[in-house]
Amino acid sequence: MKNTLYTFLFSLILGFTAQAQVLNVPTVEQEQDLWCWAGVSKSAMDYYGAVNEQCEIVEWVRQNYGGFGNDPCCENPSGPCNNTNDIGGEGSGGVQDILKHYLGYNSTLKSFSNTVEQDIVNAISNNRVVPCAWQYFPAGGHAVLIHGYENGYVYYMNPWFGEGKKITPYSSFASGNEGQAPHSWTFSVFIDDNTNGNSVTCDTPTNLSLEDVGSTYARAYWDETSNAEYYNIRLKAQGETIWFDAPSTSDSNSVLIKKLSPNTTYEVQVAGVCNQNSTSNYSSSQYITTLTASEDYCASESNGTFMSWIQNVKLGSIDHSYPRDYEYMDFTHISTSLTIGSSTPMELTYQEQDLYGQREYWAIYVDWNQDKDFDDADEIVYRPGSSAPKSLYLNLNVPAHALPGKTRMRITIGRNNPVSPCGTVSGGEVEDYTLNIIPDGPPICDAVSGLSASNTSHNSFTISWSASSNADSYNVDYREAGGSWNTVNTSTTSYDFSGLAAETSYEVKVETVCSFGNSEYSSSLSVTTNAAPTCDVVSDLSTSNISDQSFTVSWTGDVDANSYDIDYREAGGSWSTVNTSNTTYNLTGLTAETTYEVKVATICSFGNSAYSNTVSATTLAEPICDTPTSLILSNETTTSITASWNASINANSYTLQIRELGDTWNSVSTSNTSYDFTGLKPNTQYEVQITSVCSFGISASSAIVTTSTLDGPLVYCDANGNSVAGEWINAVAFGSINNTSNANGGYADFTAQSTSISAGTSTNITLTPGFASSWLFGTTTQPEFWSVWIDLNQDGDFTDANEQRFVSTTSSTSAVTATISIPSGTPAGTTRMRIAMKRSSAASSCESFANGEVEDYSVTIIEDLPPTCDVVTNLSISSITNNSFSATWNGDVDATSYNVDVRENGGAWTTISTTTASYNFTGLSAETNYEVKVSTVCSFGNSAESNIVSATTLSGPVEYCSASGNSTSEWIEAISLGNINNTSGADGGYADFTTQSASIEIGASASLTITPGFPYSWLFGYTTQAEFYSVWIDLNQDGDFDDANELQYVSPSSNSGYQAFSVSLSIPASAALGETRLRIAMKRGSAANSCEALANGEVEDYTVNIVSSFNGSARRTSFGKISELESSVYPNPAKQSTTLDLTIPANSGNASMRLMDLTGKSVVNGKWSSSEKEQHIQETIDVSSLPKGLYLMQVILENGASQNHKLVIE
Amino acid sequence: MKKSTLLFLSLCLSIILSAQSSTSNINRTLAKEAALENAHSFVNLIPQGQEKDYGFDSRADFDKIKIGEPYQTYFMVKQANEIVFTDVNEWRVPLLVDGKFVALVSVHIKEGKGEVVDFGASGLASFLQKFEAQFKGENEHVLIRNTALAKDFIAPNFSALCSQIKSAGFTTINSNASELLYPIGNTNNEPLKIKAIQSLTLAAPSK
Repeated sequence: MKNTLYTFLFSLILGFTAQAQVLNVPTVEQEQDLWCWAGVSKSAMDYYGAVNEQCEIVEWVRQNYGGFGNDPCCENPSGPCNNTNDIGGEGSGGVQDILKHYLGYNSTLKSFSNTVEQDIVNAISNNRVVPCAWQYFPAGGHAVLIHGYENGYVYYMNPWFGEGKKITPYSSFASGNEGQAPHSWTFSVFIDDNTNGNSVTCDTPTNLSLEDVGSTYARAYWDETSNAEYYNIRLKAQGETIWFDAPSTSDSNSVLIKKLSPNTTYEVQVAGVCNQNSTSNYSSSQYITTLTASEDYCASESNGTFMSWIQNVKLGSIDHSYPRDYEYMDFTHISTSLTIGSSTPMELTYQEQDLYGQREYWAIYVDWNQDKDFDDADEIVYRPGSSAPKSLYLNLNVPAHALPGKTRMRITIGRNNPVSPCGTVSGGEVEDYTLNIIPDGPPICDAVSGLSASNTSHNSFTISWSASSNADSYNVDYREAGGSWNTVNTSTTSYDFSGLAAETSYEVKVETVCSFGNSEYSSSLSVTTNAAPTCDVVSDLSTSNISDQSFTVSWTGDVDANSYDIDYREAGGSWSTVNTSNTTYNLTGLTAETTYEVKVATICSFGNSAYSNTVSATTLAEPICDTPTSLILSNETTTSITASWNASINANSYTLQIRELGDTWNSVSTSNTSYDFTGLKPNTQYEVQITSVCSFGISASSAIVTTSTLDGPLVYCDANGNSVAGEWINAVAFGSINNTSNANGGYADFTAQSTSISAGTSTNITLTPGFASSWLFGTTTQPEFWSVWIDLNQDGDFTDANEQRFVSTTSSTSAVTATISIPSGTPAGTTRMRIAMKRSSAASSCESFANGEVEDYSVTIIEDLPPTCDVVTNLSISSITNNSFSATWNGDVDATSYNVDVRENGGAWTTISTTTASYNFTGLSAETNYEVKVSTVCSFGNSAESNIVSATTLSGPVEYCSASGNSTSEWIEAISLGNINNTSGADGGYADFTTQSASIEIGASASLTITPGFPYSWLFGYTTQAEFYSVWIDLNQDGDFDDANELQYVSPSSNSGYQAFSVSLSIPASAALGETRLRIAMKRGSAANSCEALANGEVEDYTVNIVSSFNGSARRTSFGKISELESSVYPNPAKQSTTLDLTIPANSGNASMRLMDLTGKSVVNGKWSSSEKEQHIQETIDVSSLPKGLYLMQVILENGASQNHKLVIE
Repeated sequence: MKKSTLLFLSLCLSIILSAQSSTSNINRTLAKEAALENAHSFVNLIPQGQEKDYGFDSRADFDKIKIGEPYQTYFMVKQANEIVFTDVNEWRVPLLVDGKFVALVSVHIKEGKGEVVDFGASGLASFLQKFEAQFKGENEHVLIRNTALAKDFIAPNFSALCSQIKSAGFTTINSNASELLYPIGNTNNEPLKIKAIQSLTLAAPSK
């Protein structure tokens, strides 16, 4: 609030309106990994005056909203309490709820948008901070607090460790990195401008101090504020996290804090409370350490029963009244001075809770010898054996043996018995005061002793001395030798001098200051400050480790250095500076073959040194990575060769590449200058080349050298079982191998037995174990593991990829059948198959094991043949109607689709593509013979065409399925559509009105009006039912209503109305031109299907004539009058073009033409307008770009007349 | 065969890392230049009286600013159940006054140009200097930010933690690396191996 006011006043003075401001929120680090939201909340709340710890905020959320475990969050913050939270979402415990609870602020959550920037400006200028949420990419989130905005820059507080206050361009804050992971700005919390919140004007108390410290108590003092009604004091033991409240106090600037632990350090804070909802910030902390028990007087406490209390104490300057508290009260801050041997009147008064009176016993104790107890002579000042009056008058006599100085007086009042100085008071009270005992005679103010100096530096030193009795403070006089004295006063027994001149002699003397005068000065002490430190220039500057891009700079540094600035440049160029705290620095990123100059300056806390001398270093030329020379191949065996070469100077290692002649390269690396290639194939030609690998790159490859391995058989490693006493391989069945071998002593070579397997195929193998018989238990089986290897690459081992073709995953005591697959691409040839059976675990391919057996066989790999795109088989035609039939066939597994060719017998073929092994031909001509053939389409080519099959479509019109209903309770009363206006009434469930026809343009819509019919009752009017209406049009004229878009309308819900209603019919562009069937169904309770016998309702069929809607240009050739449509097409068959000769009768509406292929697809369209006179049209149609084949031309007049022409294009 | 393939991949990796290192040095220089050019325009935005919040004792310190060695920032992120490094070409450049790290300038390198995108983080700057004073070994000046753990780490030997270049901006981690990472913060500062941090990250709740 202050910031806002200051900014406003500042703006008035300067005569402008500030566009923005920065609110000075405190920097808060999140105390747990997931507490960014708590850190943001605390910063905002601290700013507005509601100071709370982060764990307290989280604890409040835990208690009121859950989700943070069962442990209190200030006791176990890193457990389940360390959890995420939202900034928004009122009612979920997010930051919005926290601000509402602690500050009384209402707020609004806003998503990021283009208007947020102005919202931020408005909020900040209204003294509103803005908590914001970021979404990290790819996951995670974070909360930060915007507290300022100015000219496109956002000021925000980031609770992430070390980030703190930040300034960033608005665009970077909204989306970017700015020291965070890539993020986007998602939500912001805007505190409502008109929210009242809590009053936050309560002032924070200042000058908190802690005095009168005992072993279990201490007294806190502070400066009263102008508006606090009372004060809250809180404290915690150092190192603890939980604050405890001391008793609040309402009418003073101090409070006695009791029940502390001895010898413990406490942190104490105080806050003002101005009204119930307004609390100030807590003050800064003060610390105290309580005395040990032995350092303090014994404790004396009340048992808290409400009976009597000390009302007033009068002694010397003490005249102290205090209301009842029934507890021990430390008033040692209240004192009076008494002289040894003196007698001083004393008056004590008590008050009591009840009316019995004079049952109270006074006791007064004084620690005359200041030994922290009341056990010595004369220390029981007053303790009669009888009860006392409410007001007790006596004289306090100070004995001659009393020690001068401050000591304690303890006054007690107790019921029924006098109270001992230590222990519990029953029904009374205890109060301690201070007596200042003054010697009888002139007091002595002792001079200090033991004056000495320490911690001498170039500008400071410390003096200290022994304490003097009676000292209130000390005057310390000092001067430069021979100069004039200066005096400082201190209450402690040491003094730190600072800001002195170096190498200067100072004189110091000290006198004791007592309340009754000062002592003699001590003897003078002379102290000489040290020489001032220097920030020395570095020495021994040198360079080393010079490479083409870097070198190291080293030097001898100065002990006083904080760091060093290294300035470097290309010779003659401008200097660049880097800083390091070390005495060496590696300059990197330099240019090769370039001379650099370097100098270094020492950075000290008290200044910088001059720069050192300049040294130079020239970076090396970029090194070259040479190709190895003299690569030769030698020591050829059947399976190995040796490569050797001359070393390259800069090579760290070499990469060798080897391949069978013309095959792909394989690489190995070595740091030697020779390499033995092993595991090669016999009698095979190999190519080898080599490159050097340097730290800065690789060389070019050497020339390829070639050699061949020696001819000879492959030698496989041995493998065997050492005992077949218990188990052995009894039989192996694999392809043509079917070998019952029985026990063979642990190993058998059956490589004479071979089977042929094609690459890319799989074959089952059956492995049968044999077990020894026991007379006692029969056959003694063991858990056996099987392994099968095939040397796929025929290199003499079983260690290459995929060569272990089978291994048991569990043990088996019976025959095992597994599938052995030979990978596609496996090279052809005869190779070895090894089978091992081992007890308890799987064998390795070259293992000699205890129990079990190994057998070797031969497998001849046959090269896998490329896939073929096969001709389809079993092509047949079925489901023949008057305008459709289906073709089906057996396809090929490699097919991606099929090309289906169809034609009218003798005509041109039309090709249709389908992905399934069938095709349904529709829209065909009746009584027409068609031919069909199919070819397979594969990704790698097409098959030949299949045989041709033919079929003849049936004669007669299209047949539709029947549908009917029962129309006693509901029926279709009437419909209207175009020219149709039919009031049919109840028709017994079905009526065929297909003689009634209406035209609808293709691509257009028409309105169908349906009037329901219901029985009429004189009493209730129409008795209606919940009806559903459905309307179909056979758009493709295939005799059903099952195709796309043919269900034109269905009631979305039941319609019980008896009045007419309209539905819209839409004819898609894909519809076939000509007359077709319209079906209307009305069904009670649910929607009908197109072929349903309805329990309740009615069905009516009509005819719709789908006509063309397009416009075309025509050449008018003559005029005349004709009553009917006449058209012809010529030439037919056509090659390049054909001519439509068309006569349009007068007033017959528009005429249209549509040329379709056998799939019903339009390939040419035309349209002409009619007039009051007959028109004769001759239209030339270009068919040169159309595929050869049979086509159908429809010529239609708007009045419904039409003609079809079959057109063959050659 | 498998061994030789691995050796060949290692060779490729070393070549890639070598090239990457060269690019890194260029960007380091760009980051320094951008920080040097723009630092004053940012520090001048510090409100009067709030200098200490940004690491400066007074405004007179603004004229003493020098540039320290930049730290490249990498992020540890979860990609398909794997923890990898991602690099958005961001650098955090220390600002020094009388040899003391006072704040960081964040520089984003894009299309060969450095842009200052953020300023502040005096606490982090101070911590980096404390680390450099205590850690005398080789320091590649890489800062790793882990948003899942809400923690930053210094990786003095970052190169040893990188296993293989996966794709642009992503680097797989050599989980078996023995080099230590140093957590930044006033608590839980024990250095950790990268495998331990990967495990913690995978187990961390999503925020």
